[in-house]
Amino acid sequence: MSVEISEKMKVIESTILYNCEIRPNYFRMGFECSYVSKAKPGQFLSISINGVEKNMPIRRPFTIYKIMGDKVEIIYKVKGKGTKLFTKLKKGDKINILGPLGNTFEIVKNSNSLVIGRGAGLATLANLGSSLKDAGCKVTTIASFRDESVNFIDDFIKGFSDKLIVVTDEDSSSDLKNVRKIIDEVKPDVIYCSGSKRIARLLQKLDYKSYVSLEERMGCGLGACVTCSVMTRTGYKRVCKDGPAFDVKEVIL
Amino acid sequence: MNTSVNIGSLKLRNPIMNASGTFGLDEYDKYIDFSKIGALVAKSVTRNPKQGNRPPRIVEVDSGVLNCVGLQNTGVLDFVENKIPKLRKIDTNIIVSISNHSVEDFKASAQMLDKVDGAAGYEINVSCPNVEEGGKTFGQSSEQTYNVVRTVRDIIKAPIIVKLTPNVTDIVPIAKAAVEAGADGLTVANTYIGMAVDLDTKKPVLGNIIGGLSGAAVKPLTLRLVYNIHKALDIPIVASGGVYTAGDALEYLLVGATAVQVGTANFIKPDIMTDIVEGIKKFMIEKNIEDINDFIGSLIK
Repeated sequence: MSVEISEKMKVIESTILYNCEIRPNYFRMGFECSYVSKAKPGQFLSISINGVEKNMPIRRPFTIYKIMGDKVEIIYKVKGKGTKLFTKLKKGDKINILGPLGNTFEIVKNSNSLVIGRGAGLATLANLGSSLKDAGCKVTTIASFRDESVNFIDDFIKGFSDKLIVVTDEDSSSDLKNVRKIIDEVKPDVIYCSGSKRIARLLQKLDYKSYVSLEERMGCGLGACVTCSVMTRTGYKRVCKDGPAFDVKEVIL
Repeated sequence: MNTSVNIGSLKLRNPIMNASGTFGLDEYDKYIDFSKIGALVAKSVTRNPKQGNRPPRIVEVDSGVLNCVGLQNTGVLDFVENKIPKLRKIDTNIIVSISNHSVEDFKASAQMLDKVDGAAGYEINVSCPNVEEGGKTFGQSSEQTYNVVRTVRDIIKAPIIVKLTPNVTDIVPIAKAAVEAGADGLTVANTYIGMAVDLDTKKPVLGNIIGGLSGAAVKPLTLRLVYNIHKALDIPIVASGGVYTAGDALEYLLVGATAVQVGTANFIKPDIMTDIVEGIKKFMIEKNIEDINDFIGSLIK
């Protein structure tokens, strides 16, 4: 096992098991990490390559896709310089993990839950979806993609979804009118969304209890540098510490 | 082996402390043993609460980081009531950082802080715009720097360190003004103003358009500032800029810094400061240095 945890420090060196492109610009990376396997749904990991690397001054936050015993999997989309560097990592390479960090989603046992994920935002909600299923919830999943070429739905997502609805921009099924129609048909007790401000704004207008997982550029990941702030009804809040999960009606998008 | 250094009457067990705003008691408690660093510098506090700038507030650039937090804090009253009591409990020097937009607000903040006497020392951040003088940064004028430092000096008896801005044509006269106003030390330096743009959106990346550059990219620039000030003035210098390793810290000590701040590197490894302290000790053993003070400023020209 390559996991070392000292009493004070919760920065963990981990070994990559696989890191492959599953769809254009979407990567699936797995690594050994028994410590992280205790992560709660919605929490994230702050990952760096090779520890102190001056050419990559800050870590990158990734949400957890799936926990399988001692193994953890993330699905990430290439967005900039940092994530591009991650795509170069190969089996056996080391990464350095800080986390799990952040808060968690509220789960209402045995509820009728609706998970709405757009693009990589669907990966953010997968660990939650699985926990919802374990908590006896009826899970409906709306998976929104630009087009079929980036649809990365696998058996894991199918496994926790009692009903799975794929919508795309290609056939206009991802437009807000249709998403709203589906929501009203499901009549969920709780909605969880990620990856689309458009959908989050829609949920702000609707009368359902809704949570959103937010993303922002991050510094320390621990709450000290207040760079990942998002505006809420009660002032700026930190995505890394007060979030990433927020009541959708509390945030100003 | 002696690693302790002095900044005025402030005695540090070793020369390593954090840069203000990159580190915090509550957030880092789980990751680092505070008793192993020379001091903890609190996040800058202003007279009134400040909301800060609109996001995004941070972006990584080549070998560095740009940020535009905008001094978000809950104000000096909240700091005195809720933060100082907690900070007092930890086993290291607490340095309280004060920032403001007018001399009057510096005065009021200093008065409130002096009353509770919770800090081993104070850092005066003069890298903010003076609204009374058309928004020009205090630290870009010798006269304004003098006014701020003198005002705080008249109130606070504890050691005062003035954190200078590097965004000036010549930093030495400003450093001199701070010393003449009664500073016990100088932090050299704050971040370098810069910006980043996005070719796809054609927009600035940061919410505030411009931000401050920190990280490895600034180290040679700040090294030269420390060198220049050390040559010109007999004042303890706290170097701040791109320190990731013991080697980086030692370079600053070599050119004349008495202590060193670690900022951006805390984002990479939350306990990096204790690694740096250990690295300095190892270097001292290897090079047969009995007292770190013998190494400080020992650059051979």
